[in-house]
Amino acid sequence: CLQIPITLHKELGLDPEGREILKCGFKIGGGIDQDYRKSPQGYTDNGIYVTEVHDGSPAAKSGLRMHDKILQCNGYDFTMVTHKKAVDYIKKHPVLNLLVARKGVTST
Amino acid sequence: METESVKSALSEQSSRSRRSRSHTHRNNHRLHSNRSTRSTRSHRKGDDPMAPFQTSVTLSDENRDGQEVIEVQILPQDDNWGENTTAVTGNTSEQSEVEDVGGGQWPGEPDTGFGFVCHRYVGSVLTAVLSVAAFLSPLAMVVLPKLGFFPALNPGPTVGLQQRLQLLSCGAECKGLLVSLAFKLVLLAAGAWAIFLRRPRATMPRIFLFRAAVLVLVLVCTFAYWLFYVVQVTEGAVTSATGEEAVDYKSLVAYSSSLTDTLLFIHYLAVVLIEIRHLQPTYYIKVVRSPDGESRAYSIGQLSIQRAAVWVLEHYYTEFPIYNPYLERLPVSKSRKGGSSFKFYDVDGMNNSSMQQSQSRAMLAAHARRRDSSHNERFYEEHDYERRVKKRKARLITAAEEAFTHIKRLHNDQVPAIPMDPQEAAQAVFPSLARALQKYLRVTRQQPRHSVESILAHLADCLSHDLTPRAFLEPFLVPAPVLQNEKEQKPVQTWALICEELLSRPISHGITFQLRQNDVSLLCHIRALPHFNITEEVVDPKSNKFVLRLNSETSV
Repeated sequence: CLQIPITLHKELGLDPEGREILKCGFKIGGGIDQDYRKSPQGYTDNGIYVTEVHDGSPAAKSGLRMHDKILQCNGYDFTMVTHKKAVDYIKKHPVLNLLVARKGVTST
Repeated sequence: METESVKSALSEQSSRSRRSRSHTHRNNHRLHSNRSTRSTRSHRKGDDPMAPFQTSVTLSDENRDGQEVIEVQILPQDDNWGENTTAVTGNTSEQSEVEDVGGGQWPGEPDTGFGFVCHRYVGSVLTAVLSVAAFLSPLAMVVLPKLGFFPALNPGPTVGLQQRLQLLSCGAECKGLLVSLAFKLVLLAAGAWAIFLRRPRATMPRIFLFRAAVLVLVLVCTFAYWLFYVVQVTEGAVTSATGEEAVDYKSLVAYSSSLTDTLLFIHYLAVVLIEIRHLQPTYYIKVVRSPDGESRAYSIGQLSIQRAAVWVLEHYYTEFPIYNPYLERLPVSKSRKGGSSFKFYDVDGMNNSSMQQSQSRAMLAAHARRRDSSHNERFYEEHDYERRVKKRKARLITAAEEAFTHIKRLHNDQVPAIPMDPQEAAQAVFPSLARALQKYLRVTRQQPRHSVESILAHLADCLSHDLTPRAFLEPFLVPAPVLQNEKEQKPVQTWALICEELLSRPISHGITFQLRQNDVSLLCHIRALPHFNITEEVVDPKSNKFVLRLNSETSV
């Protein structure tokens, strides 16, 4: 499948407790410890999927779309990770170099 | 009740010190005769196939004032007992006999005899006399003037015949009062019969405060009413002669009606104090039986210490399992050797004195280590014992079931059967489960409790009621409650109550008292139940909504 490279620069935001953190602006779901059959979006495997992209967020600006599957993040393979690990990796770096796969996009 | 000997804590302690420990009881001449016939008796028992050849127990429970004198010879168990061996092997272990106390009763524990009977019944007799007197007073007050008991009212110089008739006449209102009086008396009689006319459950050492208070009240009330009555009648007769206000019959009837009312209210108070007050649970009582550690916890209301003791005994006899004194030491199978012996060697031939010191220290250490490892022995012993009990129990149940199928077939076969009544059927069926039953009873040390006759009677009973084998086996498998043991079903059971507080004081938090009988002692601790604070928590029904927890999504 085609791997779409996306570079995401995080922006400063406030987390629910009021502290300043770097936010990307999207939600992920999935992971090898999750059951993809229970996903409401109907995903077909245990990969990490983008389930929501907030408007005006760095994710939207960088071209990330909903239902994208993240294949790599900063060189780290995301096709066989647990959910928690995926979250940790994403939160680690301020700039994310993602490789995503999108349904229906097979060629540039 | 007030006059009887008071069993205070102090006297209990002194009698306790005189009482000797468990298996050394004082006894009287009869035991000597038992000794002489023991050998013959065990041979005689050899004829009965059920007889425990190698375990003979002589129980002499003729009037020992509530003490069982038990002599037990536990001979080594031989699994071949079922065959006809008539030899009584050696190795008997007998209980030691203490010196003979010449035929006298156990001091301080009268179970029979005039003193006890007096103590037991004086309270009830007094109550009965007083109650009957009080009950008959209204009747007497109404009837006596008519019968002419009061000379002042008789026709004579002071009271003319016409006046007497007028005084004693009974109009409509008076008749109404008489009817109501009659009904009230009937109600009072019915109430007293329902609640109070019964054999007292217990004889208590101190006075029963509530009952005494009620009786005093009844006495005072009756006395006061009679006093005023007599004064009224005689004064009234006198005043009627002089033409002043006289007392007429209607007021006398009204007077005795008010006496009946008062008696009814006293009856109500008695019911509340004696029957109802202690029903609401206020305290938590924990009863621990001493030799084997069985315990139960109950909730109890407000009672005096002696009444609480009676209450505890009621529950003890109906809920606690039977105490088996033979199970104090678990029967060890003969294959196990004794504990390991600790050997130490003289390694170096050193100084004697220092060697002795180190020897003694080594001995102490050895003893300590032996004690540490004895818990291991206990664990394995208990485990082993439980396995054996389970094995024999399984065999017993199988044997019983087989035996019972025999008897069913005998019932169903119409043609060749000789109809037998239950006793004969029991005797016919019994031998096939006798061996398994006997082995089970031996392993659980229950044989002294069940004799052949009682087992046969029980079996006949079960057969006549169409019970299943397991129902027949229930009294042997479940040794509870205490009253199931026929030896405990005596008309009078004596227990000694020991407490630091005065026995007629009410129980309160932190009180501990002890009940003793022979080896068994029940220690009771009382704690107050907490006051419950129930708060209301309102749950908003709108918050009763749920969201599906999906494949968890995290926002980053």
